[in-house]
Amino acid sequence: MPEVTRNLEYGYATLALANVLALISSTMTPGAGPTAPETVAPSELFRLLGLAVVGFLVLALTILSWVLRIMGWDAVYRATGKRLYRWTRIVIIILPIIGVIVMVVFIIVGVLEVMAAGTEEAAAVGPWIYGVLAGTALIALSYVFEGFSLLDMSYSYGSKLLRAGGILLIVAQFASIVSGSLSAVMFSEVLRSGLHTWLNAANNCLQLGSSILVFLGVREVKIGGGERA
Amino acid sequence: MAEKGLSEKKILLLFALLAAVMIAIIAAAALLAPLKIELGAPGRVAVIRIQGPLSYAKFSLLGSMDVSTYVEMIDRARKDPLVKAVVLYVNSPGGDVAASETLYYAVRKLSEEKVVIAYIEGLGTSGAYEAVLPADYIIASNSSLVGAIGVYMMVYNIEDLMGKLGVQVYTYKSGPLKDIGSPFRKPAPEEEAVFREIVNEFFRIFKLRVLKHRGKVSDEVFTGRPFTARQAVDAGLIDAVGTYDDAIKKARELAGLPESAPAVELKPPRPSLLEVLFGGAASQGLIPIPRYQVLAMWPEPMVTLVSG
Repeated sequence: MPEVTRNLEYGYATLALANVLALISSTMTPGAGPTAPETVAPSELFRLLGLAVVGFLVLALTILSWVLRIMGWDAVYRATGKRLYRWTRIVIIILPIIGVIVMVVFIIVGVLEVMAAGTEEAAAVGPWIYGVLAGTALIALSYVFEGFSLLDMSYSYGSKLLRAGGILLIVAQFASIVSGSLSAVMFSEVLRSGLHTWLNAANNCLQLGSSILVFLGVREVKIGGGERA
Repeated sequence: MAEKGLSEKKILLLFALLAAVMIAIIAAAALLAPLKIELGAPGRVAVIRIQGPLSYAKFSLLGSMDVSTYVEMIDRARKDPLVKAVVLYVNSPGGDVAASETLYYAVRKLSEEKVVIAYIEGLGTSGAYEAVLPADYIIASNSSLVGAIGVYMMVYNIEDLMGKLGVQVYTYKSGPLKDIGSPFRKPAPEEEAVFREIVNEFFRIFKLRVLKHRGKVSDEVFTGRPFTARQAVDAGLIDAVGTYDDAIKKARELAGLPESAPAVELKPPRPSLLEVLFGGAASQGLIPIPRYQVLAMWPEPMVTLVSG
């Protein structure tokens, strides 16, 4: 009989792997912005190709993790009958979908504005960037809700690791929104100083830490009469 | 055995609170964005190219743009908090009175908020010169022609041609001057007087603007003659003879920007295929007709240097 928390475990393990790759890609990010050269050197091209491949893997793993976590929360709800976990499943389905739609719409608006403005920075002061940020916030909020459910689970089943993981997950989401807002306000300065690389790396570290802690914490939890050996 | 977890109400309350905080962070970022220039952001110089005759009709294949495109680019530079100075790169003989005036007002509004440098390379005459009058500093390249301050009007008369073709045109009008400027007959003396009044009035406004922005200028500038860049400096029409680099350097200097401040050329919005092929006339459903009141050098000079 499959364990109740198995999918949740796999989901966070996959998320941790996605975070590791995202951390690697954040160190590969080129010095974007208006000062970037218009022609790309062959060595730079390889780096960009590598970045694209890693980016695709991160996306694929994040989607896989999302599906596994939805299935995981569904299993937890069925085993415990607790409404909060059912809500968690609904929230992590709906908010990311709306968030991605909002992001895609505003990214298209941004691309059109950049094309019309001629320079990235001229358009960067436009409001579209806050639309993208709002989409990110919706996705972050789904994680925050999940973080509260993990905290609840940690209190219910006495896992300190899970508690730490839940708190770190919530903190990581806030950090991502704060750094995103900072990047939006100080767009050109952030790009020029290379601060975005550090902000991305710091965010990925937080996300990675929270994913690992939650993964370990979920492994500790015994739902449905201690089915774990 | 499971212990009691957190209360659902508490969780929902906390979630709502955190969601509100996130929204507040994003809203604060959106509100702070316009102030970022005050937070020590480095500025830049925007370059806007004004080329070809100034008009409201787009002649894309002839390389001229609708004046509203220039106004839109100027507004974009004005609203961009990162842009501290604007260099108007001009190579235009002038154009319609209305189009030149529209551009003049846009440049005047821009110069009230940012440093504006006009750089003339080739032609900066008549309406094009009027448009850049509000600039803080006007530089022209050595081989440029500047000035040609004045207004002219053209009325075509194809009466004889129509007669040869056997075409007769009858006009029924509510007043004697209703078809003023008709190309199918010679203008009447009272019509000529009206045309002269219009030309003189537009010229008066143009002259006032020159005196307002340039101060003391030689009387010769109002004869309508063009000047070379060096002559234009002597006549008081421009401030210096120089190169494009000099213009950028001056823009940085007047805006208090460091030498490393970038100069970014603002590009016009990309036209659709239909606009590229047919220009604005296609989108407006109109065939471009020559305007009567013109602030332009006419005919446009063709100066060729032959070595050998």
